[in-house]
Amino acid sequence: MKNIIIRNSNRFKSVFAQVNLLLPLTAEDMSKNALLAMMLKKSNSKYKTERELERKLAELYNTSFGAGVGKVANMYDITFGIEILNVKYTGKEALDEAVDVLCTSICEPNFVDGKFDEKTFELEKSSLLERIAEEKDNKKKYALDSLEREMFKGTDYGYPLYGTAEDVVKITNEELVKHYYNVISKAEVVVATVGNLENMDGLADTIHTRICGKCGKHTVEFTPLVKQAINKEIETKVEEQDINQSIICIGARIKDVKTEDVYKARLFDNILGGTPAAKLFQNVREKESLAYFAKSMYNMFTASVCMFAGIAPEKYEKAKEVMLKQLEDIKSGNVSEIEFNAAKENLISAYKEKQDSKGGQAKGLFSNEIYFGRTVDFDEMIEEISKLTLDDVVEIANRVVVTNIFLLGGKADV
Amino acid sequence: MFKVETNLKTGEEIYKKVLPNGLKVYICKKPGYIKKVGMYGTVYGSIDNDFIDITTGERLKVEDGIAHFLEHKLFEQEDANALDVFAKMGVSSNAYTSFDHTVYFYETSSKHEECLNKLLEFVNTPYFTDENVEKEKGIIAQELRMYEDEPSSVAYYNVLRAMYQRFPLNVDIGGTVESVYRIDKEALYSCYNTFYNPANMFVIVIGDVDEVETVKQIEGFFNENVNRKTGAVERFVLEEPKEIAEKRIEKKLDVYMPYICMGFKHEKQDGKTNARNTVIMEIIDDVCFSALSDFHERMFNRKIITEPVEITYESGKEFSHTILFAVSKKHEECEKEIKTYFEELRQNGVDKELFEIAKKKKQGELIYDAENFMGIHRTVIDSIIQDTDVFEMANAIKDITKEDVDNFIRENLREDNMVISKVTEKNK
Repeated sequence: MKNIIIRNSNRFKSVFAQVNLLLPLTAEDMSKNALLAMMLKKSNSKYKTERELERKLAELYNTSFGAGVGKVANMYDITFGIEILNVKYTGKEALDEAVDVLCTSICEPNFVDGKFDEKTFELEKSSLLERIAEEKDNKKKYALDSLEREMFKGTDYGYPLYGTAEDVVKITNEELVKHYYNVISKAEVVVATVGNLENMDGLADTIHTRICGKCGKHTVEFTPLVKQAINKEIETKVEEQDINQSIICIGARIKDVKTEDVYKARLFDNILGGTPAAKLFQNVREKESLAYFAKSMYNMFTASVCMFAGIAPEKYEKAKEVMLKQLEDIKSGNVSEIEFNAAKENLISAYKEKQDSKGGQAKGLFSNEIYFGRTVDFDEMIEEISKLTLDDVVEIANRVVVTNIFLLGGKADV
Repeated sequence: MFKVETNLKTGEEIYKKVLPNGLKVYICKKPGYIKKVGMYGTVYGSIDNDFIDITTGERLKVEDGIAHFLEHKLFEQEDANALDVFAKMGVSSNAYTSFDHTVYFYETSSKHEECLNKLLEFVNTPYFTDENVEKEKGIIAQELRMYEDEPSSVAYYNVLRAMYQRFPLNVDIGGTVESVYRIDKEALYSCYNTFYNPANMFVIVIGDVDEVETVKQIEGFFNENVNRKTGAVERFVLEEPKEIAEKRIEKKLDVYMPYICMGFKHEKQDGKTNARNTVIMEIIDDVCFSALSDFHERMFNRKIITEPVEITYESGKEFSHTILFAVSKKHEECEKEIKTYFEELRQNGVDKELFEIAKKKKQGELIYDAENFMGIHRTVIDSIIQDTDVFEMANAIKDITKEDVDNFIRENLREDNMVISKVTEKNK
């Protein structure tokens, strides 16, 4: 696996630089990681408040700086990113300053007497608590997250990304400082720069060297696929909410999965619910008028697929039946040539168009490094997908096992 | 043959041509990009509900939500659905309806010419039957229900209802479930014939394409395939009083986080003024409300907000207003603070140093905007609807002074033209 990813193209005017800190995924660290990312994003030893930091970024011709967290297989990923204009617009000094903001934020926190600034710590802690409480307001995302938690219940992966409110409340300033040193002494650092790198050679190396100068170089041991036994019977969970539309989510896992299954699985997912030509859209929406949105989503790291749709509460049984039927149809090879080719073409176009997006490339290439353990470019993915036949799709479909159903907003007597 | 407009800061170029049938064509050049986007749209949205039917010459008032209904149906032909046909070509496509325009578009990396023809063909071949109109009602009802559960959407539509007494901005773009169920195919055809006539429409192509070839293709298509009545559409617009409709609308939903939406009602303005006001408001957003501002720091430190308050200027040919959005668990305190802050701003104006920083930030933003592939289409459509140059806004930035900003606040963001809409917790 490479720790530095570089893609240069003059179609862009700016550069996106991303730093990933990869850590082992453990339930007990989730909330600390999330809080740490928020703290480091807000201030550092040079810019002591969010306002000072934001003013600096504005002066650097609207440089944007962000931080986020995610789960990648059995790793927790703290990501930092900046978007900066090519030096021809800003001059070298502005570039150096922007890189300094990124690296200082990671390497030199705003410590006062060996602790995080107490006021910032308290404020970010309550922000995180609000963010957790607020998750229910985004119905679609909440339903999908809940399904995932159900599917991977009991594993570290199945634990909420930000931890729970109880976890957050317990975190002390001292603990978070300890956690910070723990993170930088363990994290594997991956740097990606994508965009117009003309006269900005060595940007990724500069960032990588500076961050590893603080953290050292480590490797996190990981398995690209989340391991968990697959349920034999479908478990159904209903969460009542007083809303106008119910959201039905059906989760499935792929049995006996191998790394190279990823292409088959992506194509299978696209036929099932990836496009408007897909089975879910055509049948749940167009044929049965049950929903406005009806889609599916595949996660390569968990080898899982979930189908979801927004429906009238009384249509739950009907929607479930129609959705499951689509999966069965693919299993029995009931896929027309048109459906198959549409899904394939669409997937190939999506990979081609990735080259027009800085963030999309950085994220995609980073995920590939992790998943395959080597560099896999979009061209290689396109080539692999081009080779697939309907038999490949049918084969993988027959390894897809429905394990969980989550219904948000429905009636309790389901 | 082309009129060329240039963004003075980034050098971006847009080629414009009006065809003999009145169709406006815009080519936005994006050298080096793989993706190509084609858009075909009409200056017709949810507010156009009272007009002269171009076929019969009679005045017609139609149901709420019909423009959006039409958008759902136009991608359907006798034996095919456009979304489906595009998807089968491996191309993604979509459409949307706003208050004053409707757009159909595709994105492709390899089949641009074929897609452009298909897009023009679909939108020029309406196929409505009692059966397919009926079938769509269930789908649209679910779409409306989805928005009814989204607090930001509810708060936004209610703030418009609070501002407008008569002008149809006070109705959701999609109408209501009831109005949607009253729509029939005859009404859809009347709206289609009137508003989807080439003189009321536009084509926008974005990407690394040849402008001469593209225009030739479009012109060829219309010469061969379209022979409908064209002409300017006569609309009837209700005179909207200066006064607001209601000071406050509150709605309770099953949410954790309350939403506050404030509106400031302005009189309608010409396109140039609207473009300028949009930029002024972007500066106000940066200087007064973003994470750069003292206000944000103060409110964040008091745990009233976690995310910055946002303020935007919205306008069309017949309206203009300002919308402010805030999310706050302490919504009463938040509302009070924002009101007091506006009093201070009206009296003292904005921070001078921050104003200069915000202008520098704007210069950078312009270059990022040139990279934003899809972003340009909204600017082009605004320029069509409001009859201005495409880069009116981009080129206006350099001339805006702190005094312009201060005057705008004093004159337009007042207590008497302000309304409040809130979505609060049902189960508190």
